[in-house]
Amino acid sequence: MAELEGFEGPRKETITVEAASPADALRSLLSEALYKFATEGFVAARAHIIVKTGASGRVKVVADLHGEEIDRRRHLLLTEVKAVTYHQLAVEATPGGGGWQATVLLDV
Amino acid sequence: MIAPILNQLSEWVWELPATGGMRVPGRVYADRRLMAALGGDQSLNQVANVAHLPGILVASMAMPDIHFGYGFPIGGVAAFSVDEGVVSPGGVGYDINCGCRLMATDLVESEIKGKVPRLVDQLFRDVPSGVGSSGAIAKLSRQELEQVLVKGAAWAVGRGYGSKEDLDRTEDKGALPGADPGAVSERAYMRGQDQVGTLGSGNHFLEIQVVDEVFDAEAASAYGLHQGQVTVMVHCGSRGFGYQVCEDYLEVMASASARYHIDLPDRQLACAPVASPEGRKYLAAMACAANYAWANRQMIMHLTELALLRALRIPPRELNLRLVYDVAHNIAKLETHQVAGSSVDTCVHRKGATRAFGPGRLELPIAYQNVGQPVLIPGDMGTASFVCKGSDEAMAQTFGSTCHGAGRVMSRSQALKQAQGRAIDRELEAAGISVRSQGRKTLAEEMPEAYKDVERVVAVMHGANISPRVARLRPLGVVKG
Repeated sequence: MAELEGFEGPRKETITVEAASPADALRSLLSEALYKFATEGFVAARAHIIVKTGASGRVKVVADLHGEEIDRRRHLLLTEVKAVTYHQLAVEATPGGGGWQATVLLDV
Repeated sequence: MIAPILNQLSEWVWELPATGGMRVPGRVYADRRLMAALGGDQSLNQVANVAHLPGILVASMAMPDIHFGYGFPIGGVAAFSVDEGVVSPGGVGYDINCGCRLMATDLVESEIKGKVPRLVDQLFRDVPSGVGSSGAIAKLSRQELEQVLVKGAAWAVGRGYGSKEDLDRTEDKGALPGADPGAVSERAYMRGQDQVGTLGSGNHFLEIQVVDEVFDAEAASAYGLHQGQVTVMVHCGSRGFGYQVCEDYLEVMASASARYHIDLPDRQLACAPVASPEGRKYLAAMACAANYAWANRQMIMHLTELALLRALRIPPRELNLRLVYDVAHNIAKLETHQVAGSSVDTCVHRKGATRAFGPGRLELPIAYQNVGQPVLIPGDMGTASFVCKGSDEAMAQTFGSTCHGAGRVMSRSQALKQAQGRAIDRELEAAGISVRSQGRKTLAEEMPEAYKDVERVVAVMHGANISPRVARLRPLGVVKG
């Protein structure tokens, strides 16, 4: 989409998604962020994300995205992302429990 | 993952026998070298996966430009019975009615010699391209956009952007019937309101070409093409509107598949019976996106004409820009085909595949009735594109379908790696091709080596007599998004 360089975080957008699994929640979150870009030109430069798993196993994600709208004079645009796909979508805990590893394929 | 076993049926055709839950065999059109290049590619498994879907007819097919897609492979053709089969957004793809439009001119190569960089600059200025490109025309009101969704290319012609003859030379006359603006989400409207007449990015392009060689004089003459003639080709689709329709309906279909107890080997194959409320609603929304794409390419043709006239400073009659044909290559269509001697109502999914109707089909313009439908096959930006023709053999073997392009052989990241330290634009300039691109990395991602050899892909479908070659088009100038 765009090189991150040059993006500041004056605008905050909060996105809340709920899904059946961490992988689906990640896909929905990215898809929401893509929609913000497609309709408002908003690019998130950094994010603060809270993930909660309910008793039913459903995953709720609240993401505070800090970024700004693209400015073609200052920002370098790359290839258009059409969609965040379900293909090979995975979120797994890394061995040793130190973190998470995600696979997300974008259609460009 | 187990590599599928293939039986070679003829020089050009390979069969993937039906095993496990496959309802029909897989059938791949390729020569030995293209087949060997597929190697451990997941796309053959995807051909097998599609064969699991209910109501699939004859075979799950792949054209020689087959490569990995999401769910269905790109280069895939699958026809389903309307009564017992399914429709799947994954069998169409995100860019609904991504397609190709070929325009002819009265100019010959010598008349634009030395002017190509200027023409490309003008096209680059006048046809919005690149990420999120918009603003070719004023933002459309909701009411106006609904007209685009129902009327397709005719909406643009009604606004003065083209002629009625253009509609006659567009697949489905530039509008699929059954489009229902009520089947489309608010989000799709938001994404679609200011992108009519824009190219987008990635593999989309606008190209000035010359007819380099004619292989079939009779068909070329019917299509109005001759050696040395300047042509223009555009490759693009339904922009953000179509991506959103696909996204929305993948979710609808995920629950529908469960509701109709359809066992899916891959969730991106999510589908619903063609005759179900979900299936019908998807087809109504997909038709809206297909029509948006036809309006888009019609607008781009208009912008192209203005740009060329401006840059060449000639009157319209000297340029005489006219439509040869416009084809969709990401679409699901309700068509009647002969299956085992009977006439069957089908829903043909072409994902990275082109309709290739043979002579005599009533869907074709009268001028092309005797020779068959023009099939437009864009190649990579450094090699060539082809005009081929639909055939009776295509009607008999592939539900009137053929390949759609060269097909990627390298991922975008592989291409970027290979292009490091090289200036692709200068390499193309040295080969006599002027290039302008919005995206800094687009040229590297789209470099000629990232694609299969289009000559070879086209030769397979020519050899199999599915879509015989008519003419080769050599690029002179390219605008990439």
